[in-house]
Amino acid sequence: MELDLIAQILLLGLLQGGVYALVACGLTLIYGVMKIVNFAHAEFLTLGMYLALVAFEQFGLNPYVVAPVIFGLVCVLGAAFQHITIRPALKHPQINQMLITIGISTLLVGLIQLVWGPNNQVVRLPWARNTLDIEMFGGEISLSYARLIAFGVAIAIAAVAWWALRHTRMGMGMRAASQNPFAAQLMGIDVSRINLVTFGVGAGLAALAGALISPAFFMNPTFGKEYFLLTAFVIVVLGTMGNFAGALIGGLVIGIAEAIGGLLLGPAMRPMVSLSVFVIVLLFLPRGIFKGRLT
Amino acid sequence: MKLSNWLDWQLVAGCIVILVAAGIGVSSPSEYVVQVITLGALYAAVATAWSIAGGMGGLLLLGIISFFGVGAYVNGILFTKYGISPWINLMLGFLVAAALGRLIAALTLRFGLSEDYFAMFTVGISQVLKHLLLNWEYAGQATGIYITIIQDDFWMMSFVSRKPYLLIGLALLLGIVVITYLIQRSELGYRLAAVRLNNQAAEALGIDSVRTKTHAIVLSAGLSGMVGAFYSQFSTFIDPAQVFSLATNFEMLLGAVLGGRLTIIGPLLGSAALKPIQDVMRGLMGGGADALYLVFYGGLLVASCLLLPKGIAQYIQNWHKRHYAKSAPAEKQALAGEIK
Repeated sequence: MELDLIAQILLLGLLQGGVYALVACGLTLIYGVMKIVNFAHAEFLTLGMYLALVAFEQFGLNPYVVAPVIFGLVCVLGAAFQHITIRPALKHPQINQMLITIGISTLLVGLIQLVWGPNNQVVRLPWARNTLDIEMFGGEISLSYARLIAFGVAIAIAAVAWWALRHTRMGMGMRAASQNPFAAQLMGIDVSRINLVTFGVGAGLAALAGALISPAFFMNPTFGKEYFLLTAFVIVVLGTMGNFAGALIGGLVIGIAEAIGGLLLGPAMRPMVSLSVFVIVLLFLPRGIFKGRLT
Repeated sequence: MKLSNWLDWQLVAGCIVILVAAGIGVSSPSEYVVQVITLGALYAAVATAWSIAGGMGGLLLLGIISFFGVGAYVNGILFTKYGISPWINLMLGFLVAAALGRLIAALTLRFGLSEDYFAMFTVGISQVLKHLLLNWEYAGQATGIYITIIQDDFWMMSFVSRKPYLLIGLALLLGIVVITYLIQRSELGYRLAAVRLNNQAAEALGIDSVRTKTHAIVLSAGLSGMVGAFYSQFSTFIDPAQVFSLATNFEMLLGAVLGGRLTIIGPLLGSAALKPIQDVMRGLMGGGADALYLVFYGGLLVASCLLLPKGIAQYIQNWHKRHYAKSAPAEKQALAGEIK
């Protein structure tokens, strides 16, 4: 196999990994603070894609311009879901909390299908499908602008979020609540407000990732669930659940691992790769590659 | 057996519900009604089987569909390729699914993994199996397996009419209900309750919690596999997308949660209520009903978790307690199926 083809596939994997990282960041943040596995996470990504589609088709707005608005909208929506359905269940057994997020996921898939129909749609942004060609290893490597932008913005946002966790008041509150919610409460931190913001930001990050990839992928109501949910689970487990930096690195690792797997085993076996990583991590690294939370 | 005992009462009530369903099915001239009742019975059977690990054991065995799908493929492959009787395949489906359950338990329980990992892992495994079967040429890949039924043959579980399947499905359901009843009364039932309510205290009292949880997972898995094996014979067509569908998976769990996952009768009642609702909605609105049904049952799942965390059966249990409290002496009341 030629070197340039291998480089092309690895780079595509890395670009995909950046988007995975952004999605997984939100999931790991919610888990770290609230100890809830959010099965509805991928639906917020799908919702972000559809909102970008509406903005593009109704108002002619570019998904990259409208992405901050989508982030804000889904933040509010996520916070509302948290307030109405998850906050009252925080004291219930864990299985009830998980089933509630599964219920939200089903509800959102149903609503998206009711509003936008079950068929495949895409944001038709012609220039985003053009490719950037680089001469390398005696061949040409082509990367589409849509994927390059998604990768760049995803990594930048994740870095900003990581900085905010360490240096802002709200971020430090989140870290405190994730270590010990009771002690955080005693220190005067409003934990229920932290939970609200965390869930909102987590959902918003997923929707932002959705808006960023909307020119590159065909969307349908179950897109997020099929392509991102289990991968995001694998990433947060790999990077230790609740560990923000772990989710970032785990996302890149899984993106490249999938690309290599697709190269060696054929594209049909691609989804198997991340799931095999899941099994291997559970067997040999049950606490993930990093230990601790939100460090 | 005394009706004043909550467990006995549930068994009797469960039998009555199943008999009524059989009566309606057998006397109905409509093939469609028979189909709906049989499917409802299968969903109820999986929900009840799940309640052994998911209810009594308090385990987050969220991906129950893996075992159902494996059972379906056991019968699909053995029946069409080797002509082995589905009656035998029910047993083999049980064994293969139970072995898978044993493997999952060994992988996940040995480090004392937290429940979150366990839940995600069981859901992940169902998708691993789906992709394996999508790529396995011998099992028909995405095309799936068709089972052709030409003439009545009891030994090969082949019937032109749908009614014998209805009776077999209800018999399976009855069998699983009786098994959960026996487990709740047995030592395993008490061990499971102890592990669910306080794992550490149970360990301190000498209960091997890993072994107890493994037993519950193996039983839930095996029984679901058996139902899956029957499902493939009944539906005559299976493919990976259908028998490993996460939507179906959560629909089965919803029956158990809505009805009450800690009881024998809960999963049965929950599923009996849900399946016909879906078909009525489909009848009223045609193909567009699917999206609305998703909204409906997603909302119902959230609402039932929030408002009825112990399910409909909780109300029946309260009624049962009040009703029999008048006649029974105090110490007997304390014994009346007090498993919380």
